Amino acid sequence: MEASDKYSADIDEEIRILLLGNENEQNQAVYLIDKHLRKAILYEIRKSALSISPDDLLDVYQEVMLNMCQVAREKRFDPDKSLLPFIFTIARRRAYDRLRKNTARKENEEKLLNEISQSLQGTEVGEAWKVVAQKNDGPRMLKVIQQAIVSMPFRQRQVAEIIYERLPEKVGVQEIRNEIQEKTGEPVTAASVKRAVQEVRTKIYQQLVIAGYMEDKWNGKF
Amino acid sequence: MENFEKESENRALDALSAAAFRLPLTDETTNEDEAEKIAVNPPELSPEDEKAISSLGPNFVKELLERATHPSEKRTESNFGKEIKEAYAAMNRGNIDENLSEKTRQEIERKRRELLGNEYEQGKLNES
Repeated sequence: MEASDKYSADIDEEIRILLLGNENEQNQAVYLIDKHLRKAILYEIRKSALSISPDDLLDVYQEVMLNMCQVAREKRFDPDKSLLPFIFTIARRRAYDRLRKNTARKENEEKLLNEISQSLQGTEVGEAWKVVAQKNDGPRMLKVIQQAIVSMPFRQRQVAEIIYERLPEKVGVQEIRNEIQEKTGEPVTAASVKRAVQEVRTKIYQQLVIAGYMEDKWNGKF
Repeated sequence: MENFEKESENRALDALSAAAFRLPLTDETTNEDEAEKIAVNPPELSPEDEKAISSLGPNFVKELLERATHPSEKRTESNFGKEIKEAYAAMNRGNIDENLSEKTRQEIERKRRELLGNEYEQGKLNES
């Protein structure tokens, strides 16, 4: 990103003022949002929808930008509210629309919490987590995991999302393979899925080691 | 790693990773400070995503604005108006789960605190 594209308080204020203006000024606001916030909005979409394809990612981004146009045209932007959380909330909702899984996530949260409690016990991962949680640094450790996955190739993200969405249910390689094939219509080998599962875990583990949240007890391989 | 030990560690790492995506820790992007961090320094995307983004082209916004002016599919004002209200409401309420009983909500909160530390509260963890 060039220095001139960096987001700042001045740019924030300029966008907020322009969104309240006439149609030409609103258009300028949209240009500025794209110029200064494109990557941040795309990150928010990608974090909310791991398994959508890169093409879908761009589609959702366009939807978000069209929504911002609509907000401006309909004079619905509240100048007393912060701009960034508003845009990012729209981005997340458009991402969930594309996934259509948000309801399922909420309903399984209690089961997930139970699974986390039980599965961490007696493990190296669990010990690392205990130390971090005692320092109230848990969410930052989880953010390291989030960023590791967001930056993974498409197939690995697809696999990761299936495993995480189905927890506490255990999902085997064949089931993951079937789900990917069903969603994408593309043939996928069991070997490539197995490899992707291994890569996802190894990369997360490596990032946790690099960030200092875990010791490298397995020579970088999980 | 022995097989049983490996399976346990796999399970633990998967569960923790699932928490990163499924648990509403802090709704960081309705928290202005966190949103600003992402805006100023957005994290890296995958090479595939970056390649797709580079295909957007210099006329992306121009074409988008033309579509906004002449929409082929109209979203009804009542639908999107409701979504905007919900977007503002989401910024105010954090991550309150709407469709759960009070007892279930309290139980989930208790478990979140156990897992994430004593100072966890919805929307407040990153304040210091």
